[in-house]
Amino acid sequence: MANVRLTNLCKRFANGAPVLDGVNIEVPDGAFCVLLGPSGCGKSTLLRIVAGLDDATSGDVFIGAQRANEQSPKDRNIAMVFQSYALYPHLSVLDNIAFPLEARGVSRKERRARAAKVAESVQLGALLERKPAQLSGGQRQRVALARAIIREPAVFLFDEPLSNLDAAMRHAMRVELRALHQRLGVTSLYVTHDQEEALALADRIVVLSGGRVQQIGTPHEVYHAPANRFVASFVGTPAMNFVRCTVRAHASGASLAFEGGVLQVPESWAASLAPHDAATCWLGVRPTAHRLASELHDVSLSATLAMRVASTEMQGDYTDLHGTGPGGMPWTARIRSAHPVAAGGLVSLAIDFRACHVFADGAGDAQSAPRLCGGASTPALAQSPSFAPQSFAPPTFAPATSAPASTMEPSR
Amino acid sequence: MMAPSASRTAAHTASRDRAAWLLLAPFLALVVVFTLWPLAGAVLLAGQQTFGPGTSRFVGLANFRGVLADPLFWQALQNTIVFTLGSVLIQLPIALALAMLLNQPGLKGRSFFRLVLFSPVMVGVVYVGMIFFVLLQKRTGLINQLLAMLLPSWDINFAWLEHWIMLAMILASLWQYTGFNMVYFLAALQSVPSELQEAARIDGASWWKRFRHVTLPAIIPVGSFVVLLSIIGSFQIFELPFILLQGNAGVDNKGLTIVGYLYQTGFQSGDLGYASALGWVIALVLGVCALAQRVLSARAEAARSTSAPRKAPAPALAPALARQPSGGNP
Repeated sequence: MANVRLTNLCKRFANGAPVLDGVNIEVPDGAFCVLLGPSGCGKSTLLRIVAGLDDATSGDVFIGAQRANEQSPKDRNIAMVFQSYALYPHLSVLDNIAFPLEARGVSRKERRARAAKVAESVQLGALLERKPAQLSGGQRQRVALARAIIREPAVFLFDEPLSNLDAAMRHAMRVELRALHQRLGVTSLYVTHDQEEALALADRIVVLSGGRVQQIGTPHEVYHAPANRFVASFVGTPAMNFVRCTVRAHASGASLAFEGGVLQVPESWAASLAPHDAATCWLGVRPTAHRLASELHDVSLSATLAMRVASTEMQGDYTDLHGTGPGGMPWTARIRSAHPVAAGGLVSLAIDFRACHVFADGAGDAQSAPRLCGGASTPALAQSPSFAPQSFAPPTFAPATSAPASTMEPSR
Repeated sequence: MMAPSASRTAAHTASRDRAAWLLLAPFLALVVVFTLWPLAGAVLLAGQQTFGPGTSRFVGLANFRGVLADPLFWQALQNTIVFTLGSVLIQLPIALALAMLLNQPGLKGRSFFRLVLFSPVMVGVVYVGMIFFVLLQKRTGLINQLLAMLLPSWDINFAWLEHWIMLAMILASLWQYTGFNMVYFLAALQSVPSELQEAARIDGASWWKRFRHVTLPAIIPVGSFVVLLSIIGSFQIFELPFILLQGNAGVDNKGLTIVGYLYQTGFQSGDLGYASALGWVIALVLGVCALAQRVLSARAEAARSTSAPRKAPAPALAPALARQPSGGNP
């Protein structure tokens, strides 16, 4: 087993367009590291460079203590599982699994014995003589896994291995992959665009966008303390809501002013926001941060916002409300389904600041501007006044008692 | 209730059938006039002995017995088989090798090389025959001129077309058709999944193992089709020896091919009945080849995976997991 270290990795296409731009990642020995990002972010290219299937334009790949840049794929002591499974179509399951051993000149008797044993460990024991065409997607993926396991590699590389499976199979294979990693403890690099998969599988997640690392952290860190607006919007379903604000620091704390309203933020945010007085920033609110204000016992303890509901999506235990929120921004709120909400009306939503974040509004690559404050460290249902956007009529069930007049005033 | 509806359906079906036959009629007429009629004529002719057009008598299967007992037929068949083997065993491996070279990732000028190698196909067989005739002439032929220049002892009157007619035919068709077959192989190679090649590279497979386990199984369907095309094409070789040998069969009938012999008997000796019997024998041989190709490629296809993953019942564990909501809870 080995750690994997990538230093200053760059890759450019022939036309000069950068695919990877100074990537630095260290995957500790035995870790399960997921490379997460949208299509075209360079994650597959990164994996192929580690595998030796592509060359980096500059930078180094270390597998264990050894610099691997010039090593051929077979000498890197890695095994790779592909999205299309890449099984040899005319070979049986057993021969597919034994193929890496055949290529290494292991005797026929030994490789068949070892292949049968590995096949057993991934529940393929009954299918050894079948051809890949006679297997289901999940079974094919297991063959691909077994073929990777039999090499006893230092590093497993997975290139979107579950993308071709249906949802049920994907869940099942996810559990199996996690169990396999716990059993073998082999360092794993796993590429996916599916953030759910990343959160479920990873010890650590590397979020990539535009060929750059946006954040490296545990699934908990990436979800609850996103490094920037890109990570916040990419991780989490439904995606985080954003509204552009202006920071107003004052003696009693801080508030965020946006087109049509002002929001008093928790005291714990004030220190972080104070240096950015008068600067523009983005407030991010996770859809799960909302509750119907009418459900709360003491609305005075909560900040609320108004949302005009255009459509609703009943999902079972919860309902997604889609419409426009503060500043006229597209807004999604996920609320408990206990009380039905009609489309077309205004609702007052209490927000939980623990699932809200404030991001700087950087020049240039605005998505990468850092997070200023927010997240789990914020007290729940902070004692802050509610607000109502000016452009909306006051919600019928909005609390009439708690809002100090100052924050109800329009920001203009 | 039933009767009117049933009769309406029947009327509808009948009118639809009429329209279908009407639309098919022009094509069927062409097939009958230009394919079925001559074919039937050939069956009848094969049972007759003809002395030029107009004079004929029924001889039953005598023509076929005659063909099987005819030493010239066997020599023509042997020559044709040698030429066919030469085409398939020399031309196709070269075509595959060239296709593999052109399929190298990162090769510059691929379409230029493809055009250069493919262009001889665009030249007619007659021209190819004339080019090789000029090359291989006794005194003035370029090959003899060149060899005489390099080797002072070389006999400039060496008769390539008398001693080495089969080699000349194989080389000429090699020059003309290698690029054509290469294009087929190139298309097949480009459909070999790159992930499979990469998986084999990571697995540490040697070049030969990658070729045997990844490339070859993937190109067998196209490969067997190309082999069939080559066999059929080679069996029908006629113009090339006709041009190279100026209408003769060459010294000791070394350049006599089976279609050439058919032409001789039918149009030079005037026995169209015997020529028809020869034609049926050729058709039989080619039919067997086509059948073999179908069986082989069906087998290869069965052994090959279809790339689309098939849906199959998920294991018992999966449905329980699938019922869990995929997102977070409010």
